[in-house]
Amino acid sequence: MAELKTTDNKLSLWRVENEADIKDALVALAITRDKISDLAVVMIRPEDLQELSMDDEEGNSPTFGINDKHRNITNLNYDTLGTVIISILNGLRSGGYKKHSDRAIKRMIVEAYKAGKVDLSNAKESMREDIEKALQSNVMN
Amino acid sequence: MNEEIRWYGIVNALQYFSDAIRMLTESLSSENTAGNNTTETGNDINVLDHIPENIFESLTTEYYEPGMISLGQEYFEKLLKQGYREKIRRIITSLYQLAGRKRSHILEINTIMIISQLPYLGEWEDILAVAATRSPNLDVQEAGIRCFERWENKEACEFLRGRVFSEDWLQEYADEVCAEVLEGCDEVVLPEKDSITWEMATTGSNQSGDIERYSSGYRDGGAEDNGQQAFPLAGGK
Repeated sequence: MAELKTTDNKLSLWRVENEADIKDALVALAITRDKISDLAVVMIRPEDLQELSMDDEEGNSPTFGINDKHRNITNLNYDTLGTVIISILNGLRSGGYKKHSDRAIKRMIVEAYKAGKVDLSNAKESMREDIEKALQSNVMN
Repeated sequence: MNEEIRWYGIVNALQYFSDAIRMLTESLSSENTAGNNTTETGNDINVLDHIPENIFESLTTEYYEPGMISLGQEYFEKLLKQGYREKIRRIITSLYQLAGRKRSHILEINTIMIISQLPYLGEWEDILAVAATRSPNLDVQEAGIRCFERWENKEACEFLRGRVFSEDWLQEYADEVCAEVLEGCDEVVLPEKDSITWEMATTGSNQSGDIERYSSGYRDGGAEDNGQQAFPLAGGK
């Protein structure tokens, strides 16, 4: 799973192998933002990324248990970006796309927090406020 | 013969010159219009008199990013904390009208997204959200639906109930929001699609509708995948 923002010609990915990993990765992606919001993800097959150079730099998400599953596609350039795009399209074609609503993301973050998987001290203040509101919300009960 | 060619050449040159002049004047004319962010009617406000230029610039040029607080949003949240509700209404409605006049989908989406993040007051915001759901631009329609999703207000969501969207993915989104808000459904299961058709996005990521969004979950490895499913199911069909 990837968030499509590059930094220093690197694109961040999370390697997921089961539903629990997917939820953890979603929380990891969502919780680094300013506010709880919807999140659309595309699943990319590892074989589609074989031509690309990757590293296994540990993630710095405030979510426990997922940071070792972080990977970077490195040395992105015009050519390799094309490979990334094709891999995303393959993911879309095979139905590996899902948009998670605000409410679904909120629920996942709250569940992760209650399970002790999230360290909010590293989250942005605006995100902490959103999570606190969600914890108090009747919807989550 | 040479004289004919020379005259023909001169006539063509004049034609190109007049075309160039026409294009240049049209370009200058549109720049002048773009620079005129004031409104003409007496009931509207001059938007730039009421918001900082950098905020206006951000609203008109920067695409909305889910989960990120934009400069515009920060600004209006600050106004709200200071109690300037009426001022917010006047600025937002003026911005929305300006977006319509300039046909600026970026401004339209950013304005609607700001409304979606403000607390629902039940005074004027739903009218703009409903208007957004009727925009010819699909991203704007989505932004309108998002307002009802974020407000989580049953009364407001009644505006969305029964609304018919031309794009399946928007209809599904609206149906999900209605189910969640009106019926309190936590998990919405939509009918599985029989086929997926794809159209390649040709320009940029904001050309919504060019890629059909299959929002029913992650697919199981099917015949199309040749059994090469790399990831176990995640609540997929």
